[in-house]
Parts: sequence; C-alpha cells; structure tokens
Amino acid sequence: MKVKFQALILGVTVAMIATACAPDPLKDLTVEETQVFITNYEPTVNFANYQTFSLADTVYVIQNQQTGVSTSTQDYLALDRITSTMTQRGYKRVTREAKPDLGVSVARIRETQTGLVANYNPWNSYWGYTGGGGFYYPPTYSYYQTSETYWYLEMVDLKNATNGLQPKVVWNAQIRGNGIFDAASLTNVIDNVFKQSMYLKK
Amino acid sequence: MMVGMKIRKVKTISAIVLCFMGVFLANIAEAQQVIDRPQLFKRESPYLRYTSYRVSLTGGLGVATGSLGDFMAANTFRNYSLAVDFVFPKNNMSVGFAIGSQYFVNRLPRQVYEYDNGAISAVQTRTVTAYPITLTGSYHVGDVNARVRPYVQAGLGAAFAEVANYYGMLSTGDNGFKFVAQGGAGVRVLLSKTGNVGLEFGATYQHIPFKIESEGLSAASSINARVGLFYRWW
Repeated sequence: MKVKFQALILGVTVAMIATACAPDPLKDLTVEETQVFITNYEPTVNFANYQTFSLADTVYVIQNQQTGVSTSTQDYLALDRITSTMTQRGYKRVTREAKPDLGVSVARIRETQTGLVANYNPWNSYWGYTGGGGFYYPPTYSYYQTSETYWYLEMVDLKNATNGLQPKVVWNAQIRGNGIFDAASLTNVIDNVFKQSMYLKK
Repeated sequence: MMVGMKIRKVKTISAIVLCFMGVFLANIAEAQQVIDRPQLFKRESPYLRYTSYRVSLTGGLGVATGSLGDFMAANTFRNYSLAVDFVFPKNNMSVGFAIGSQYFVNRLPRQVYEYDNGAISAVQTRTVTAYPITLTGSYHVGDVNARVRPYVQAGLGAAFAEVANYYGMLSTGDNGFKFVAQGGAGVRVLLSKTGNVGLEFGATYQHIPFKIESEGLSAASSINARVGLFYRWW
C-alpha cells in the first residue's frame, strides 16, 4: 500500500505541474485586435475656447531616457493626419511664433523591460523527497527582455500658460499594440484616438 | 511409589496424546471451514471490512456565477478535478483531498470603454484561472458496495486564482492564494457488482472570496458539473 501511495503522490505532482502550464489566451489575436487606444483629457477644460494650435514637424523618439527626433515617411504620415484632423475639428495651425493656444507633440516611446525568470526542474519532487532517493536539481536562470514602442500624443495649454512654468497637459493619447507603425494602417490608427475624443473640437 | 509414578506417567502421556488429538481435530475443523465454499462466500466484502481507497478523475462544465458570471459572461469545459478519498466501511463517510483546474476565457469585440476623464478602445480578453486544493468530507447514501451510491460533499482549502483582463496585450487584474469553500452532491455508479471501477457524476458550488473592485468582482464563484471515472482498491 505504501508503494501505491508514493506512486499516487508522484502522479498528483505530475498533474499539478501539467496544469500549472496555463494556456496563452492572446495567441489568436489578430494584429488589429492587439491595438489599444487610450485617451485622457482634463475635464475642467472647454476645448471650444481654443482657436489655434502648433505642431512640430518632427516626431520625438524617446528611448532609454534619450530623446531624439525622427522624420521618416511614417512620421510625416502621422503628423499630416493629425494636422488635417485638428483642422477639420475647427482649429487653425499656426507657427510657434504666432502664439498658438494649443501645443501638440507627437512621440514614439520605446520602453524596454528586463526580467529574470527561474526555471525549476520539473523532476524535483514536490515535497523535496521521494522514497526513491532525495534528488534535487537547482534551478537555472534566464533573462528575458521585452520592448514595446508606442505612439504618444500630447496637447498642452499654451493659452493659459504661465511664464517659466510647465504648461498644463489638457489631452493625451497612447496608441499601443502591433502594426501601429505600418504605413497602410497608420491613418486609421491615428483617427481612432480622435474618434473617441469628440469633445476635442471648436 | 513405583505404581504412583507409573500412573502419573500414563496420565502425562495421555494428556500429551489428548493435546495432539485436540490440535489435530481443531486443524481438521479449521480446514473444513476454509474448504466449506458457501461459508467463504458468506464472508463480508473487503470494502465492508477495511477502509478502502478511491481515486476519481472528472471533468465537465464550469459556469461562472454571481459577479464572476457578469465579468466572464462565458462558460467553460476546461474544468477538471482529481480526488483521492479514504472510504470508511461502516459509517457511510469518506474523507480525502481534491485538486482542481478551472480556466475560463472570453473575448469581447472592440469597444470604447469610457471612464471619468478618458477612454480606452480595445479588444478585451478576460480569463479566470483557479487551481483549488481542498480537503473534503462526504456522506453517502447506501453501503460501500451499493451499485448506485449518491453522496453529498463539502470541502475547504486554498486556491491559486487569477483574474486577468487583457486590453489588447496589456494586462490588468490580480492573482494570489485564496480561501476556497465547496459544497456539492453527486452519484457514483459501480460498473460491476462489487467491482473496482465506476462512473461518477457530480455538481459542486465553489466559492472563492476574490475581490477586484475595478472589474466589479466581489467573489469568484462557480458551479462545476463534472462526469468521470473512479477506481477503488483496498
């Protein structure tokens, strides 16, 4: 009976390890389905009070605490689409010198995360010892690194800005997921954050 | 003196002979008892004499209830349980432990979720995973060898539980070790008279106090209806 019970305990252990491998619920997501559009706004602001906006003609690239600018084809596509949408919503694009009411900036942010994962040997007994002899393999460690690049759009209030102080952010948007830098779908991707921000109009 | 000793000797010898005779007769009597086949079949089944063991593997439908039902809005068939029991011969009780595995998943089409000062447009993938380990006690109707043996069961234990809500690939949610309480009923049917293998049908209500306010979740409760096989031995 004792032998049978040890076999049983071993079987239970194997079953636990087998069930511990959870399925990946996201593996069947299409490229479009991975895309997430997040928008935030300052609720005390009435966007009809602004007349003009300025937009830099380059995209900021923020990566590992370093900032640069980029002027690739896709960046121009994105900037053009933002300009035309803002114009449709009743705002006039002006240069920085013409004292715009809103300052719009567009950035690509690349975030890298490094993690450590321990790979425990599945043949180790769950209770540390089985009748067959106590054996133990130490875990091996591996590093993993994930990085994600996403669009970040920001609108600041220059109309009511105080000299020497950071202007207040009145709207921002994050576009995250796969395929968000593809030229073919870029227009649609940019449009989505404006579609869910219908208050953003003159 | 000599006669007395002789008599004593005879007495001793006859006592020894009698003793041997007695053992011999007793042996015959015992041998007859073993050979007597009807007598053999009158003996109680080992399941009625000893504590026996039972292992059952079941799987089936899981239905999320209460606030978990609102959150998941989906049922699952990825719902398994492995139970090991000590079955007592006389008092219709059994005690044991059970390990379960439950996994719910639901994909919600793209939708814009509005909140106080913003909105998120995303395809949500909601998952609930639980691995409960419970100590169980059961009361059965009918004796150990009854072909059809209904039972009621209660269990207490702990579970590793995870509630996740993925916005696209961005995950939100919570996980951890939680308390588990279960209550259920079912029936076991032996495939042959006094056999070792049988079918098992049962339903369990499982309550895991798992509160996630952002998802409107007050508890992770579900009803699990399972079918499977059991094996018993002694």
